Amino acid sequence: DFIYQPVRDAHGEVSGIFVEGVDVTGRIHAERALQESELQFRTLSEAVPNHVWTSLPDGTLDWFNDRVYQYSGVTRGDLDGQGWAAIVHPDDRALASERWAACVANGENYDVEFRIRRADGSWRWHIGRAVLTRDASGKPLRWIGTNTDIEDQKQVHRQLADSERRLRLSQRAAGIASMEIDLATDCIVGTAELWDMFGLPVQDSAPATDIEKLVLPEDGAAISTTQSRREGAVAPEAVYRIRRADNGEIRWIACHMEFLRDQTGSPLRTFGALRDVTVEKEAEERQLMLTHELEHRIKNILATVSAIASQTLRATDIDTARKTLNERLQALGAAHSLLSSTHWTSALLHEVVGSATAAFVAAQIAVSGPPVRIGPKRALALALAVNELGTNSLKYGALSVPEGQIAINWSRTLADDGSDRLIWMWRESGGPDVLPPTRSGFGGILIEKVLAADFAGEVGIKFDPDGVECTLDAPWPTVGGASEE
Amino acid sequence: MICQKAVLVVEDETLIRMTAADAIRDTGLEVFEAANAQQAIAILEERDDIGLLFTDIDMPGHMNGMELSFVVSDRWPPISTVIASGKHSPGADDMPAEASFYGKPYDADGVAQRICAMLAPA
Repeated sequence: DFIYQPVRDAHGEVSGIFVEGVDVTGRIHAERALQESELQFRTLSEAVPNHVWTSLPDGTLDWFNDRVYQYSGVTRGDLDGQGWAAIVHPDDRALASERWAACVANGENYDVEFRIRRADGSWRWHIGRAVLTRDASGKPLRWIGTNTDIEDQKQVHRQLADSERRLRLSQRAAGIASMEIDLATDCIVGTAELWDMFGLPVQDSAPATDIEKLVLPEDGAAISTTQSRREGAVAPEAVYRIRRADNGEIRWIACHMEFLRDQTGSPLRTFGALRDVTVEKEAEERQLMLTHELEHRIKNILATVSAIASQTLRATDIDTARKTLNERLQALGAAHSLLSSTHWTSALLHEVVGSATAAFVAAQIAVSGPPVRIGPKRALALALAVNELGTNSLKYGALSVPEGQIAINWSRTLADDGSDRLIWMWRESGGPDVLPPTRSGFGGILIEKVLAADFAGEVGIKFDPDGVECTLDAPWPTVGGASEE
Repeated sequence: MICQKAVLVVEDETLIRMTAADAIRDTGLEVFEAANAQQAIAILEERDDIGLLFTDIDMPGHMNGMELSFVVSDRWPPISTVIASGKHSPGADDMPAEASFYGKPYDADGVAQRICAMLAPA
């Protein structure tokens, strides 16, 4: 590089030429290098998939690569200065600008996430980064920035979070607790539901033994142990009882275990899903008990029917027996219906009498007495006895004529010893003259023996010429008492 | 067949007890009836002609028919035992030695014949 300057004398005449020669080799080289570096930067900028931009040290953006313009559809140059803010999502703009201003002020690296509008109007998340370049003396040269599209990662993240939330919600709805047991430390990491299930305070993790010691000793064989977990030899399904740590309540727990194994099949991690199945277990037990109870009841009914049939068929002609057996089974059936409606616990005395006399003319029968519940055995005995009295009356007594009447009354009376007694009476009137039966049939036995025995009382039948009179004198019935069933 | 010795029928269901007792009586045996274990023991303590106990298992009171059968085989070893139940089906190990079992409902006349045969002099 040379500087030529005329050298003038005092009169202004050119007296010579001043020539100054400066060696500029270094500068030329530097300029060339800079141009080369700039070219490389531009080439690289256009080659990468990211948005690339530059800014003056004061924060004024002055260049964007083609990708930015292609992506945003904005006219070249419109993003310069503060123009870039126009394609940043309004909700993210303030944060992006503030951070940018802060970085420009202190020269720190810029790093912020924001959404940028694509030419089609959709918004995609980007991560914006920029560094300030300086010359050898440390003087700021310019900012070089990039925006990288992270929308896909964001979506995967969102989907993962959504799926995680859905899983948590459905687990909570289904009452499922989940856990992971670290095989190296034998510690349990669980959801809040896990600790709740065992009555423990919610915690991040706890030794597996903290939970194992709550399992009832007799169910200890059902659960996994430190050893069986390390070997990966754990039954996938286990059901056991625990004593809750907080209130000592016994609960049934169903546990499903899964192992994550390495290529050799050795367990790496183990996961468990647990559910409190106490309600199901109790229902199952109740169901089993009811089935057993029902079977017992059916056998008893069959035994009773078998006894009635065998007694009815004794010493009588087959046509009479067929009719009588039917009547007796119907009386039994009607009493069963009444008992079924109370789940076989009891029946009201007047309902038993009512159903046993339903086949007769209602106007001829008057029933009265205080409400009293009687147990199943007494209800059946009374139904059978009333059926015998009724069918007998229909053949020979008050019900055999239209003007005949039957009064069925009962009352609660105080006995001499202070106990309450039931006095139940069947009184016929208006019928033909009554003659005592010549022999005692099974009907008589049902009235005198079975009724008396099942009520733990006494039964008397008087064949008064005015009408049959039957009296039951028994302890006042209490349902579920020791004398019943 | 002429049978000797009496039978004690223990059953809380009056109708079923009566039917069983009647069927056994029809074979010529004498029959005593009890509605629970307590009554049964009272009869056994009073008489020495009972040769066989025919008892139901489920009965009210503090002793059921199975417990009664063990008490009887212990206190009155010569008395044979026949057990009936609609609820339980005990195995040979659950009952006193040589006791037999009938599930309910049973054929009263058939059971009566077997009981009579058991009491017949060898």
